Amino acid sequence: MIPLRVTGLTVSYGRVAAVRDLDLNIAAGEALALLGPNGAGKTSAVEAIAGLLPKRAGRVELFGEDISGLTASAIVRKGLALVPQWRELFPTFSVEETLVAATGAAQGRSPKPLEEIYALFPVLEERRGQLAGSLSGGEQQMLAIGRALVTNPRLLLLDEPSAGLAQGITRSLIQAIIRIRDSGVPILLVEQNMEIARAIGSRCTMLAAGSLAWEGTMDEAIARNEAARVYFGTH
Amino acid sequence: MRRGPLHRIALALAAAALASTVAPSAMAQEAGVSDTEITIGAIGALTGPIAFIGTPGRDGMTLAIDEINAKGGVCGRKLKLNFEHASTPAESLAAVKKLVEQDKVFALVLASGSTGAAAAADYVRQVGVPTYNLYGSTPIIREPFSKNVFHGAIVPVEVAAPGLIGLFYDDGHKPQKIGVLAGTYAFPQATLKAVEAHLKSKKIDYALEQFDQSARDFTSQLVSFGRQKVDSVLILGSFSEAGFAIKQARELGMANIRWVLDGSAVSRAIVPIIGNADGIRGYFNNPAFPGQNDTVREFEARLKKQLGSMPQGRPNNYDMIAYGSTYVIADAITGTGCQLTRDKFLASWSSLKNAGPKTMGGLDVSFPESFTETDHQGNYRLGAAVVKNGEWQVYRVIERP
Amino acid sequence: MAELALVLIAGAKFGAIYALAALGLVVVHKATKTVNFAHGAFAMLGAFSSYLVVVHWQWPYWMAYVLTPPLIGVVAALIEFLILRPLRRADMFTVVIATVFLGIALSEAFRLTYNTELLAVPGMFVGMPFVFHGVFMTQETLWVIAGALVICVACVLLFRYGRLGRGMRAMASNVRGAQLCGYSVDRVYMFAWFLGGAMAGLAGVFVAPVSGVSVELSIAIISAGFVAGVIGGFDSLKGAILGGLLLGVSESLAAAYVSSALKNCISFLLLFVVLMWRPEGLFPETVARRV
Ligand SMILES: Nc1ncnc2c1ncn2[C@@H]1O[C@H](COP(=O)(O)OP(=O)(O)OP(=O)(O)O)[C@@H](O)[C@H]1O
Ligand SMILES: [Mg+2]
Repeated sequence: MIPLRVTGLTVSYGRVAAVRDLDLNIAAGEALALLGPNGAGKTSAVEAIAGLLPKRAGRVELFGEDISGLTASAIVRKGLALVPQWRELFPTFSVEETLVAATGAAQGRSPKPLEEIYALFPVLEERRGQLAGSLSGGEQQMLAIGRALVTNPRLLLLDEPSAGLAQGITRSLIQAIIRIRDSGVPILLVEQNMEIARAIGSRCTMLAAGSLAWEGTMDEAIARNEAARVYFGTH
Repeated sequence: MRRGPLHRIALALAAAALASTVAPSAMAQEAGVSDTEITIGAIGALTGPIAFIGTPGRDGMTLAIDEINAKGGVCGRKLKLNFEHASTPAESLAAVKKLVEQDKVFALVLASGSTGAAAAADYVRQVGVPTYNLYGSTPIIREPFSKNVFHGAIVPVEVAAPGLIGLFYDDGHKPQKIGVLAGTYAFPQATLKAVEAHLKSKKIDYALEQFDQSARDFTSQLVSFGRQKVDSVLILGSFSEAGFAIKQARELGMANIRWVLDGSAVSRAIVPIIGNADGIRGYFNNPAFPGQNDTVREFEARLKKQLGSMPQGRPNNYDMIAYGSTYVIADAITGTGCQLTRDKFLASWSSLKNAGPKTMGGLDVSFPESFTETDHQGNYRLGAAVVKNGEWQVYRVIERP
Repeated sequence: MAELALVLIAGAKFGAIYALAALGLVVVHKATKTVNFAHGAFAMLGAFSSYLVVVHWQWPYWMAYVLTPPLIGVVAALIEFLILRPLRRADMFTVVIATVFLGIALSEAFRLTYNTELLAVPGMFVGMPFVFHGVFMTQETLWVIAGALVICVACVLLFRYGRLGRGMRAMASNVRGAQLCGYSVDRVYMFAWFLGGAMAGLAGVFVAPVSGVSVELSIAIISAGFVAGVIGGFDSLKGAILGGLLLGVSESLAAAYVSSALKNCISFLLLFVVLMWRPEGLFPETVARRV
């Protein structure tokens, strides 16, 4: 059964359509990169898939089950976890409390033990008692990913995890995401940086102005410099 | 003389003519009076915060009217009650106007508290409808004197004040220092004025503390009384305010206080608030408290039969006053010799002596009322009441000072 | 000295009830960002339920404490479901007005069905008072102060460490984040209203012997609870408890040593001073770097 199948997804804010008629598929064990310039509609697409934004039209199937009409909390309980672009942490929660707070979403599956999260991000264990609001940007990103992982997801959506982070941190984040991918969790990664996207994903989908612009393998995309065409309209 | 058909026709025509002359005269009868009915209008609050006045007003009147009608009514006519709900001043005035102008009632009963009576005062004076103020103690309805306005069981505050203070001296008690605990709203303030005037004229030393309407915490006032070694306290307010003040005084360790309550607080409902309320005194507007003797027990039974079940805190003095007053109206109607005009009615009312339920075989649950051309206050008496074994009872009658 | 102690005890008794009232208000506000102006009416219904259990049906007194909170909690949750859920998307003002009128409607419904000025409820304890150096403390007073405060603390602990409490705090902190952790907005809101209603009901059971059951109770509880909540910061449970106690004690002290006329305005004076001087309240939640 295919982990994620999105067909005809349309998202709009009032009369402005941010995503138009988008189709996406993620195969088992696969990491798909969702690329596109600022304002292309990437965040809108993943948030609509995760249930945080209402869908104007379209259908989302998670392992063959239609989840189009479910709320965000129901979707995460079904096993689709999102690490949102703005992280959406709880500033007054400690690191550990944040992770514990998400355990309830692993209904039916067993939540991932906190030790596994701490093994993936040792810095979180060091700071387990610290308030989320006082963490650095990189630490907050790790906490956001950790929080998603605690729900023991069957599919993980990551929205620009590297945004605004220094190179060193970014490198260790990439390593962590690769380990998650290799553990068998399919990933949909929203990224601006082609190198990072290639490190994690094997295939990519490019969005421009809300519509699908190009689809193919990461290698092909880089070889043909598809990004430049999609981003700047050049060829 | 032969009585032919012509004769019979002539006779029939004469009868018809006679009938037609009678019929218009029936239509020209006094407002509110028909061949079969006399309509009495009344206003009072049936819902809202003062419904504990208006609802008994309606129920007591209804009980009396049913009894009177069961005995054939007055002057061959049944009494009919049009009771209008009104709680605010605006509603009260509107209700009175409706009763007078649309329903054209023969007599108007103000079964509202002071608020409703005050709102209706100017209007009823102006239109001259015979008006019975059952519960209003406000001077606005009482002064200036008006020949169409009568007052029943509730005595003026100048009469109540000395009666209240007198309760401190009953059974050989000698108050060292009296504390007066008065609500800051209109009703207790009116009594307070009269009480202070009386205390000053008698040169009695007292301490004054006040509280806001619906107050539940009296610590500061009671602590102040304690500081001033007050051993006797007069509470001017509702039963709930008085009840919680006394309850709190006990919690603060103030023992052996003689408590005297304004009539507005003398109610069965105060007992459950305090628990053991024995020894608390106050005045009651009727000669016996509900449950005290056979007459009032029978009254309670009849009221219960009429209402189906007895609401908490009932019957109260408003039930009893409304019942007694309705018989006073019936007496006044009878006294016209059944010449049912407004002038005759007012004249008859102004000369009533000892009117009340007894004359028509009702239950004497209220003091008998007497009126003169110049004094429309029907009653000046009060019942001195005390709580004994958790029940109020009237132990003596306070006569007009 | 004894006099001061008496005044303080009386203040603490009302303060503990205010604290309980404020706590329920703050719990609902924290989780749902709604100020529930029907809270006082819920407390009045709680007091009424206490009357029914203790006076009307003559059941054992503890049953009032056991039955009332879930009952009023369910009433509150139903109201959330039926009236406020459809208004979820409406602006704050609409929702607040809805709760104001809801409170009035509940009070009036009570007034219509129970047409009396006041229903009296006896105290839970009627034994001899404790006397210590001329200071009186009845068993009932002790019970109200201790009982209400223990429940306040229990509520704080539930909110702090319980799973549902965590869900409400997460929702209060970040609605989207909470949803991504599997907390359903609908369920958390409904539970917050249940808890708020249960707290109001409990406040009603505590206050019934102190104030009796009347429509005025509804206004007294909402205004005291609101002021206590604002003094405490409105988003802090500890603040609500301290705010309630502070309000009760200041009312009592001001009435005893300044003027009894000050009693009613002291709460607004306090409110004014706090809003001018520390608009975030006296005991705000620890402020953290924004995420
Ligand atoms: N709440 C909103 N109301 C109105 N328009 C919005 C809203 N959120 C996003 N948009 C618009 O929708 C379009 C897509 O935005 P979206 O955030 O999905 O883009 P993105 O691809 O994630 O961009 P970025 O790479 O900068 O994160 C943009 O034009 C944006 O301005
Ligand atoms: Mg984005």
